[in-house]
Amino acid sequence: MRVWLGAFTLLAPLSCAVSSQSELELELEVSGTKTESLPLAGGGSVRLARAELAFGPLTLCPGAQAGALCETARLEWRDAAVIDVLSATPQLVGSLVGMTGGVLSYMYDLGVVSLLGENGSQFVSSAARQLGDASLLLEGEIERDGQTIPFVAHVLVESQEDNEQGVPVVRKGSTETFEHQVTSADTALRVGFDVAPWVASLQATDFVQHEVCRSGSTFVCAGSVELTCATDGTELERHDCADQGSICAPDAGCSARVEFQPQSRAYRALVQALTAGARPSFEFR
Amino acid sequence: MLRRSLLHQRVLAAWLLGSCALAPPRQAEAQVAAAPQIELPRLVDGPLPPYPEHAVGEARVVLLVTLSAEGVVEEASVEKIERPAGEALEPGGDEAFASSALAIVRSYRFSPARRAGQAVRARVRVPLSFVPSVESSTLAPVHQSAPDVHEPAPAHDGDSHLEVTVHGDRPLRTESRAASDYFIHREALEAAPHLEGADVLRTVPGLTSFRGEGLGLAHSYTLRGFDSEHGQDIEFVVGSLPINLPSHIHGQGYADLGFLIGDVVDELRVSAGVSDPKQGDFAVAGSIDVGLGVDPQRRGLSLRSSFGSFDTFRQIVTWAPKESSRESFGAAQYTSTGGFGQNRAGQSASGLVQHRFGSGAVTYRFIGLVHSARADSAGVVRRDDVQAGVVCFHCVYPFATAEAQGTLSQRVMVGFFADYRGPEHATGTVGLWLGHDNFRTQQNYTGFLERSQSLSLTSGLGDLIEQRNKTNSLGLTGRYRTEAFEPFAWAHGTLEVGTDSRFDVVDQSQSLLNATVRNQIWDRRVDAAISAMDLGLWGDLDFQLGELLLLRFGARADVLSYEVDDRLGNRVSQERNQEAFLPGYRRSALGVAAGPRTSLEIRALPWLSLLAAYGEGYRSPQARLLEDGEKAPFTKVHSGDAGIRLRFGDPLELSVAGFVTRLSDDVAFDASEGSLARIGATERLGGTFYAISHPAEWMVTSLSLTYVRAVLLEPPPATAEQPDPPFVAGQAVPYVPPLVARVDSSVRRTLMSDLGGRSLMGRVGVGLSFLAGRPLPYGQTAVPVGLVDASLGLDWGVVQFSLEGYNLLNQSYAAAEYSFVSNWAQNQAPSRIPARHVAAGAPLSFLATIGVTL
Repeated sequence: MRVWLGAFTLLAPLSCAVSSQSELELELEVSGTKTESLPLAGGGSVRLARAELAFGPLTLCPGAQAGALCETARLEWRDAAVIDVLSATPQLVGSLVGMTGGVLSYMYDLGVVSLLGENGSQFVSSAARQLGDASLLLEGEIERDGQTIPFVAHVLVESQEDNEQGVPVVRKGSTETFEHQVTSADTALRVGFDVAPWVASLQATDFVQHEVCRSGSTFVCAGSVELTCATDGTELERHDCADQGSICAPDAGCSARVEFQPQSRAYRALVQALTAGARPSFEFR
Repeated sequence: MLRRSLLHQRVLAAWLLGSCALAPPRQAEAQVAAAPQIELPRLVDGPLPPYPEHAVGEARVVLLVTLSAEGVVEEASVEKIERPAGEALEPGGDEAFASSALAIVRSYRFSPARRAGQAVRARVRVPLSFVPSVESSTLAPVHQSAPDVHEPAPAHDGDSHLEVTVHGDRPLRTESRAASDYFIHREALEAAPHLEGADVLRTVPGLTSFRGEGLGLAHSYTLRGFDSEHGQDIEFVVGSLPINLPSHIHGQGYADLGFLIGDVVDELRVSAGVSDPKQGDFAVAGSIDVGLGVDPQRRGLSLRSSFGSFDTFRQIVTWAPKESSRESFGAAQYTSTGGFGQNRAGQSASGLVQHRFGSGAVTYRFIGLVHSARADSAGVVRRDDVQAGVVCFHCVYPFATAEAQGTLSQRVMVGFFADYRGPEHATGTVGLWLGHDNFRTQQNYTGFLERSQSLSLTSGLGDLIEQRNKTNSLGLTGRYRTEAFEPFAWAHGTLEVGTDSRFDVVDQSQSLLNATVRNQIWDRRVDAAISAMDLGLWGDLDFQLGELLLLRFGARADVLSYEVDDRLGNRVSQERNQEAFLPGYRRSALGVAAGPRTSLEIRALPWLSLLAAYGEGYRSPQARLLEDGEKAPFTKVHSGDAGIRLRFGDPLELSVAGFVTRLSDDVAFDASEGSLARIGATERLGGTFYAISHPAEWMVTSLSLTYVRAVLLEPPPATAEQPDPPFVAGQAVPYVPPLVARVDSSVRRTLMSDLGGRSLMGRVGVGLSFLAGRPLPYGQTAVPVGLVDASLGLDWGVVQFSLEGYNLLNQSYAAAEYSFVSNWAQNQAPSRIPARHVAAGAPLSFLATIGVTL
């Protein structure tokens, strides 16, 4: 029987015809940008100690529009990895698998995937878990007026309820040019991130505030001084955080460092920069 | 090759009885001659053989027939063929008479010969005389005249000869036109085991048939280069009732043959390609006409109970009055199964009734069928998930949306036909039929990908597609073939005209259901009512020039008209003003599909015919895809066929045919919608080899090989919605196996001549199927499929027992394999790369049957 099957199997290729695509696997490399110090809007500079991004999954689409219109992808990488955005050294994170053919758009998630299905609506990758269930971890300090303010940001980028579920959060920009004919000659795709545009979305006031008590506020920072306010806006108490070797963090008061809260402007600015700001570079090799 | 002989017309009446089952004739004769008190066998029942289609003149065929102790024909051979003195021989004439006589005598039933009161094997001579109709003053229909001409002389009068005279009785229509036309009789159909009645179709050259989606959904067919899915490329006719359903929601031409009961399938008349003007809608790859009947050996009340793997139970009851014609019977079947693997349980029941009555030149036939089935379905699973151990090959995904898959089918059809057999080849038929079909399926191919187009921000509730389709049909058919006319001494012919018309009212819908909330509807995709009419007219000139050349030229025209009430047409998108207008798109279309149907046959040698045929056919569309006023609402089919047919009498017949078929607009399965989608113009080029051998009375083997190269000529271009079309020009047509091979073989012998006064017959049957890897979208290729089925059977008097084994090599094969995007991942990012999906075929399984025929 096996001989019989084998004989017919040998005959089968006689039917060879043109094939539309062939399977392909490309190495996926991701790199950051070496960064010393970045200017801060409103004055001062930022020195980053850590800038780690949970990157992935990544999908390359044959059509000009990604998102829900990209029902059938050309290439995809379904995993996620933590990327050191401060290192220009390419980091091999996995393989893009798919088929040959043209790609006209891309889309990716930042460690957290919106799912369609019965068991849940979100999948948090191990990469995001490494960053404390976040998509981006920024850690460093700013220098402003001779003052050093440490800060840390755990930014989670996830699909919002008013967005389309089940599609990646970052897609090719409407004015961006992205076009490549993927062939078997391609061996790798390198994606390059730059932290500078993200930092550029921050402002000095996100770190240092010079406020006075106003109606409705409970406490504010006046430099390193934390002011406790009455509901009518009168100052009830003041406390210099520097006396304890800490800083006055906006919306948090005396703290060892500034931590961006999800409702803060800085946090929202970073989310905006990550999803709608400058896109990474893509280079096929 | 049969020996020619022209002997004088003398009636032979030699009854020679033998007691040894395997004794050679002479030895048997000697033994019988010495035996006293011999009761001779008598012919109990048996139809007349048809007068051979291409034969002329008179002939008398004397057959040597060996009977079992039950009076069943074990072996038959031609002893001689006698012709009237001075009558000219025509090429192949003797072989035609011999084949006709041998084919029919095997269905005869005799009372057993007895020696000293005990039934014994016997050998008899059976002469059959053929008289052409043109020389007969009264043309007797075969079944009407059977009692008269078949009455054997009484055994006790000492003159126990059998003399059968066949008056020129021809088929109602000339069926064989091309090298790819096949007539497959019951003997070959039942050689291999078949789990279901519809599985007899696997014997058809180039055809594959699988049922991977449960008892409720139609089989998936392919035929010589066409992935017919559930029937859109094959015109199925059962007992003159058209089975394909136009504009069906699951695919135009949907044809569920689940109602077929194997015990009453008498023959298959296969016309591959398009060459016969009678071939109508969906005759793209070809037509298959299933003839129903019960042969004399099996007539009576038959009960058969089967028990098998996976809690399978089947009960068949067949009632075929012995005094009625072969075509008269009633049959019912009930099947239940737990299903192989998960979520595959199902039940089905069907009833078939057919009765031929009346006498004289006009006889009548009533046919009715009732069928219902409900079955769960496991749908498809991803191959990569099977390999990763996420889901097993025969399992279902553990989600409510997957476990809710299943299908209900209900169908009722009745037909009434009047057949006329006049003098000089004149025949005619008029008929009326009615049908109602109800179909509802829930299937999820893609997991969790769909988004509601009706409700904003609603998605991911499971792609459980519900399809509903109700069709009410009324059909009229009529045809008349003239008496033979002879404009020249060297030419004669007939002219036939006919009509096949039908009117269908279809109501169909497609929705997405949320299985976790009592099948709550979360999106509506289709809600439409369709009125469809197909008025077909055809003519056919059948002309014979001399003895060598047969020319058939015909043409057919069908007027197709549609009225569509698309209730969701022009649906307002969620972003637009919901009150700007009301949804709905009503439209109508009418077009004419016309084309020639020609064939040429050259009878080069008595055993060799060269045939060529060309025809243009059509396939009606899914009416919802029509635009208002569209003039050509059909797919045009150009079909050419050429080959040779060799007939070496009964031991061997074979044919080789090459074919080419072009379609103006083809379709292929689209998983995202669970139905068919356009793939543009296509072409098939291939060949089929078919052989059927009957080397001995106790053995029959048929073999077919079909190779085809099917390519896409003009696939649809990329669009914004489909920027990455799965097909390119020149690519292989998806799902079409380039190579199909099939072997059906059986052996039937007497094991014991006397076991409790009855002989014990043994039967062995084998069926081998092979499909080369089917091309899939996105450059994928399916895994080849090779299957072996076998059966063992014992017949002891009125009792039959059989054990059938299916997929004996226990191959984990895919009854259907696809390549598309799906999302069954619930704890990881979904994939958008097309993946291989399989609908599992049945693993190794057995079925034991015990039956009794009274």
